[in-house]
Amino acid sequence: MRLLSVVSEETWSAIRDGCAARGVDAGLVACLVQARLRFAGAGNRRNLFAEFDRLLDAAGEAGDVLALPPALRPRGRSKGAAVQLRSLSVRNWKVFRRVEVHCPEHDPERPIVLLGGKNGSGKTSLLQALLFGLYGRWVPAEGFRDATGSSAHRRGAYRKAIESAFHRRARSEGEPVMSVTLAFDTAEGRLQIDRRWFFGPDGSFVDEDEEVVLQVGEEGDVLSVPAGIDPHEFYQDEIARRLLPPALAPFFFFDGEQVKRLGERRLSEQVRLGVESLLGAHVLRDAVSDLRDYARDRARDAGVETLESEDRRAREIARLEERERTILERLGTLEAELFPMRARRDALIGELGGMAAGSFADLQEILERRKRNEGAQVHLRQAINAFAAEELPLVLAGRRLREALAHRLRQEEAAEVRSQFGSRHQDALEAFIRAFSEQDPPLDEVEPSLAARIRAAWQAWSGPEGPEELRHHYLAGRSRAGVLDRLSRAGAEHESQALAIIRDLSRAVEEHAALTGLVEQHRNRSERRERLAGELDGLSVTIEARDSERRQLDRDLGELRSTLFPRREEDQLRRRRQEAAVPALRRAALSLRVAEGVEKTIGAVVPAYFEVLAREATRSYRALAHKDMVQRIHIEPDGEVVLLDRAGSPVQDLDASAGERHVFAMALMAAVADLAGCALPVVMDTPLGRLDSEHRDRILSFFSAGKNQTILLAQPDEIHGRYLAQIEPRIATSYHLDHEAGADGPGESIVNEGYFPLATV
Amino acid sequence: MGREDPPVQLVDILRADFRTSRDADATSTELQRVLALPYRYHPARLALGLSLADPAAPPPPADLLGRPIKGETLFGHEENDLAWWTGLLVEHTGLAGVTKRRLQDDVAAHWQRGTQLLWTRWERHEGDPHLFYARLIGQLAAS
Repeated sequence: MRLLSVVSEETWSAIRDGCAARGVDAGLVACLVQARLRFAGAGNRRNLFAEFDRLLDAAGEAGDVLALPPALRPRGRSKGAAVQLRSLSVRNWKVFRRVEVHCPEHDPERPIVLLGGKNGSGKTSLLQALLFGLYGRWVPAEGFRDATGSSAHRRGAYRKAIESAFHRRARSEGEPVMSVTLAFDTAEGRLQIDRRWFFGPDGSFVDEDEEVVLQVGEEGDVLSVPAGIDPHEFYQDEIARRLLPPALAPFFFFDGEQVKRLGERRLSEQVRLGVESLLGAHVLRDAVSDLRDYARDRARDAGVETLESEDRRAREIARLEERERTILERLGTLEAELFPMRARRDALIGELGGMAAGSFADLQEILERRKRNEGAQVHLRQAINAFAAEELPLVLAGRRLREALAHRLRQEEAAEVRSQFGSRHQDALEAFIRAFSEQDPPLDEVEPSLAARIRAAWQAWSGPEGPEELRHHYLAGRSRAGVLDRLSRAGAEHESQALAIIRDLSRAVEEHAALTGLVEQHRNRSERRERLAGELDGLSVTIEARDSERRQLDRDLGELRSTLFPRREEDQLRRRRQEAAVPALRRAALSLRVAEGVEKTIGAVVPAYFEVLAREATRSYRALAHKDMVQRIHIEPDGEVVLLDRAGSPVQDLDASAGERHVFAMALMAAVADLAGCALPVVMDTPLGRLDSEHRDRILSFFSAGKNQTILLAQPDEIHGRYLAQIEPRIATSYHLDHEAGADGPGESIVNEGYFPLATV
Repeated sequence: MGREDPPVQLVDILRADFRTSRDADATSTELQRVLALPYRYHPARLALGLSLADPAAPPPPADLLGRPIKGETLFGHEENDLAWWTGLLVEHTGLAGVTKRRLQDDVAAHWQRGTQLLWTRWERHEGDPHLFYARLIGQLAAS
């Protein structure tokens, strides 16, 4: 399918501008979306991604304008004249073995084709034949879709749907083909779509075993497929262009269940779905999703992650490196602080160790020595005091006086002797000398001289004259001798004794001072020791804290590097791979840019259409809803739907009522169908089953009032009596389905002309 | 006039009171304190010894209001001690027949003069009081 067959011109225009603003050329976007459309539902995406490779390579560095081949250039959807279904033929489709329904040439005054059928007679099968006939594997089989379905899933579901649609008896009878043929009158003339599905002998539908042929014009010419284009794609594109893109089909061809499912959504979701379908945004969203997958895939193939995760990794590495830097700086600071601290601690320990050695014992010894010294001093001082009291005064009195006294005392002693012996003392001396010389052995020569010496000593001792009077009369002989003895000992002997004691004392005093100095030194050292020990304690605490922090940082650094280093290596490896994989990565980056541009544009475009849709939905809702309280539908920029009354105040309870949501869904579908700008037939399968009588009236009058072809597939109890009468003047033709139950399994239905006879007025 | 005093005997000295002037006594008490001497007679004996070294007769004191010290305390109660002290005092007078009274007056004068000399020398000395004696002896030896 071509881009503009599925994406509205308005959307495309916005995409073009949005991508241009991001430096991505719209031609590239168109080609990429186109490729995505072409490969949708084609199993795995290898071919799609290879096509992306080709397109992105061709786009060059900055996403230059691509020279789109003419067949790929967006072309506007066919608009203008009304489209009518002219015939629907099925073969081996569900309960129908072979059926044809013909619609007369369109008359705007009689736009209704009424097709009655009881439950199980095949009304819904006819609706599905229409959808499958139009779109084949692109059929919006799940009804309204607003999410990207997995293509594999869709593919499986499609195969299953086709296999179960194959008429059972035809299969059992070995027929190989099931077909749907549709004929439309379009602005470009007659268009006939002939789609055939081929089955194996076991009734299995084989991939690609589906044929579609488009015939145009009154002659039924087969539409030729341009060279190089897949016929399937070409035909689907033509169907979308001439009739309707698949996404919009549910707004034209629907059954009661579908309306119910839509009605079960919140109003805002309904609106968003409507706008996205109208704009073809889901096609773009699918493309965005594939482009992102493509980028991831190519980056992975290139051995690198997506650009986002690469950026994330780079940021993570930068963060780790920053953390590493911070830790290293802190470690440097800590080391710088710790170095002098440790040196100081060692010095303190050394000094304290030296001080500690034997200091106590030393001090004790010194104190003991000082004690002994003090004891000795006491003795010395006592001795000195005794000397001062007893001997010193005599010394101080001086030698002169002492000698004078001694001399006087000796004189007085001699005088006393003389006075006692008188004149007899000379006779006694001579008698003594005679006795001396008679002693044996004789002295011979020395005898005369000895005698002379004795006479001289006697003379000297007795003196020529004694003192006239006694000065020291109070001293008796014994006392005088004692005084002389004392005087003879005084002087040099006493002085030297005293000086020796004083010298000892002087030494003791000096030693005491020295010992006191040592004690003081010890005390000072002790104080210093305490001060140093205090400093050491404080320093040790600080060092331990710093060390603890350093150890923690070392651990942190280790852990960090165990993360960082492998990542860095991995990053370098990735960079080398990247360099080798630059083209793939460039393509991936470009595809991401395209995806981003498209996604953002959709995000901007969708809300812009809310107002348009709100206006149209107001009109249709006011026609359909029997409650007249809603005056206006307002859609907020975020898609939130607000129903306003005449006063402009919000009507609160509508979203809570299942019936009203159902009506709103129909109004929305009508609004979307109207805004789609295609005058396509509306095919409704049992649209009124769930509605009350007033809503039936309103819906019937609403849909029958239009000029477009309206095909109603109805149950007999749904449209009968006055309802039938209400639309009778607008009916162009009518049929009813008759079902014959089969003997073995489901039976077969056929189409007969005319509505149920009993249902007429 | 009554009859003349008899020459002194040692026993008289033993019992007699000796005193000096009030000022000399006060100085003597201060010397006792600074020289850390246990008894009052200690500075008195040193003063007497120092004064006796001067051959000149000491001037008499202005008063005799100092506190007394018994002879047996001032000179010692041993006979020999009394004997040499008396001998030195009497020999310094150069007189015979010295009376107890004369001896008490001479002691008062020597005590006063010696105290003054001792104080003067102490004032020039700083340091351990016991080393002061060494200085005294040294000065004596040098004189």
